[in-house]
Amino acid sequence: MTVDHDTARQFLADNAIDRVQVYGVHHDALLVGKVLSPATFLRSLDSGFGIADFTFGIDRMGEPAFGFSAPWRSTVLGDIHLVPDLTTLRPSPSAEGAAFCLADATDVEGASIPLCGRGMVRRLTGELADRGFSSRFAFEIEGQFFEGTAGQNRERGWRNLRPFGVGGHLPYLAQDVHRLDPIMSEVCRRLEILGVPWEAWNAEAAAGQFEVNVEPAPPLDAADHVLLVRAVCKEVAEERGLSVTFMARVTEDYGNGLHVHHSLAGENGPAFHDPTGPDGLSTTARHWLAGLTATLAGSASIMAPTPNSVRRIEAFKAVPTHVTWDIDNKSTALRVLSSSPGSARIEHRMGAGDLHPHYAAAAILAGGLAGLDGQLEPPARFQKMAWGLPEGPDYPERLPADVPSALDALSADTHLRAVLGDDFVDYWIGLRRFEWLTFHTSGGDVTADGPTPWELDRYFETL
Amino acid sequence: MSGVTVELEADAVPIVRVMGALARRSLQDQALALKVAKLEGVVAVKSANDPQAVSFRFERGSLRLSRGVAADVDVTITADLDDDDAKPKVTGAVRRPQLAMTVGKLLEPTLGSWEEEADAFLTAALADPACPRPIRLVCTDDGHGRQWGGDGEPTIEVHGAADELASCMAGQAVLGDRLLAGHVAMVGDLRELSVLTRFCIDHLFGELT
Repeated sequence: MTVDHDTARQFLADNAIDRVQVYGVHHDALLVGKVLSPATFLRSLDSGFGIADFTFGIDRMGEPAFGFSAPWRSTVLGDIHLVPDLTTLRPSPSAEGAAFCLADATDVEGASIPLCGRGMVRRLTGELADRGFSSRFAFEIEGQFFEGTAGQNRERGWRNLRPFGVGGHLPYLAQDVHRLDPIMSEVCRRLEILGVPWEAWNAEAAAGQFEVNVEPAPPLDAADHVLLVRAVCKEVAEERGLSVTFMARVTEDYGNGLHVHHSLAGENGPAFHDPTGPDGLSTTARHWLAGLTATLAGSASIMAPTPNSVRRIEAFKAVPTHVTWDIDNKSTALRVLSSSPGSARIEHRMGAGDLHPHYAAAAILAGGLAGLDGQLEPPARFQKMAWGLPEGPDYPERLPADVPSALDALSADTHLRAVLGDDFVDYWIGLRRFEWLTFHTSGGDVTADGPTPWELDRYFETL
Repeated sequence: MSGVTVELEADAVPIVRVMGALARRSLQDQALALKVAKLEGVVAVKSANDPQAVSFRFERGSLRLSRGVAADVDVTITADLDDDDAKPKVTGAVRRPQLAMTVGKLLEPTLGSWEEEADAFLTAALADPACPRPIRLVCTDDGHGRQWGGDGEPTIEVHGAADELASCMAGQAVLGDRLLAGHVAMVGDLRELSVLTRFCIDHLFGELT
């Protein structure tokens, strides 16, 4: 791992690097940046290089998003900087002679901009350390392969998409594994070069669908890993005449999720387990869990950021619909595992496949921190099936299932506002509101059972 | 008061909010409100260009709007929502002519002059400290300009024909969209335009408080 300028210079020389791809993370979780010569890259290490600040003021299709503003953006059109993070510098596994490096987005003075997810996670990890804890996160990354490249499928208007898998819909199916193996083996080989410690992959419930598990890592690394897995899968698929998407709802029947496992450790090791505590949970775990529970509704727009991801929120679709937690109950929003110190963790199950992993990690850290600081106590476990519940005061609160409700919940969430900051929250609400407006007024159909061509055109290729 | 209650579906989609705002405005006309109060039936308005649709359900004194085309629709109006001059296609009007005509009137409230519309809109918008100010509008038909939100150098100056200005100020068009489409011109900052556009959208939705 390279961490200083001299080591970086040596890395470039040792690996005969003639260009460095440096990418920040757009608010729609897209990698954006420039390819730098080695000399320019080395010059950029202290204060970065400029890209148009408007990059963070346009949507994923390049349309200007109106309705909000931010002090870190120029009043007209200016620059922000991308500052390479040398801990992520690696040889590119996909382009000979190239290196790959992630970057933080800062204003021209060098301060992290509120929309920089990497900066947010770094800040919140620091705040957690101030309280004596570290954390480890692991995302369960789901995607789906299709025959034909994205370009070919786009030319066909996204009609008759053919999943790259056998017709059965059984998860873990060996026949699907056999078909996916040449692709996923190459994906995993490239991930290793990029320093992504993949643990396992399996065929998932839909034909051509898969799940990749990556070893638990500090939150920033874990969120980076999600973007790298997505990027490598896209590259390998394209090279083999296939396409892959991490859209939350690709077909009428199936979607991709992104569950987030995480745990805390203190000075004396794992901090969530206490064999003498209720449900085997420590006081720390209970406060953390309470903070997560209190912010579930507020974090809904971060966990399901697009009109397409909102389509997943239906009963019996393996997506949580109510504010619930339980021990090893996969129908609840928060699944808690507490049988041993080493395995004690919380699985946050709201995430859609298209979420921004850094924002998701930040929202989880923010909720947990709010719980720790407020010494909150969680509601009672919900020890029943948490899908298909009736309405009423005797039942858990329903999670937002549409964009406006999710944004209202975030706007009103004082815990998340306090930790994530008003600058981020208000800008994010503006961006999501614009996405919702665009969906409804340019071709999306909320009444359709499955994703509309508008959604496939907008999300399939870049997600 | 019109005597007609207008209710929107929960979590209303944009077309429902926009049509609801238009209906509420039109119902300020007492003569029209009296007619609407006697109506029963369902009218759907569909976009000719995309999947947007809204159903108006009249039930003697109440009007409920919801997304999509209702199964029991009496009249369907298919319109180009981006082109006010395009002639809409109407089905079912032969059997329910009064219903069809009344909805047509609901969707076309009478606009005031651009200055009257700007007075109403900007007075409400400027009550929010987040709204940029001063704002100057200049009518390119006659060169006449007026300023709201104080004296001094305007933060935003919008130039356009009287009907364009009236439309933007009445909540029937979004300033940012009209600027990008070249229908109005602007002097000012992108930041302030973006924020003012939010107020325009709130106005379009009838949610400017």
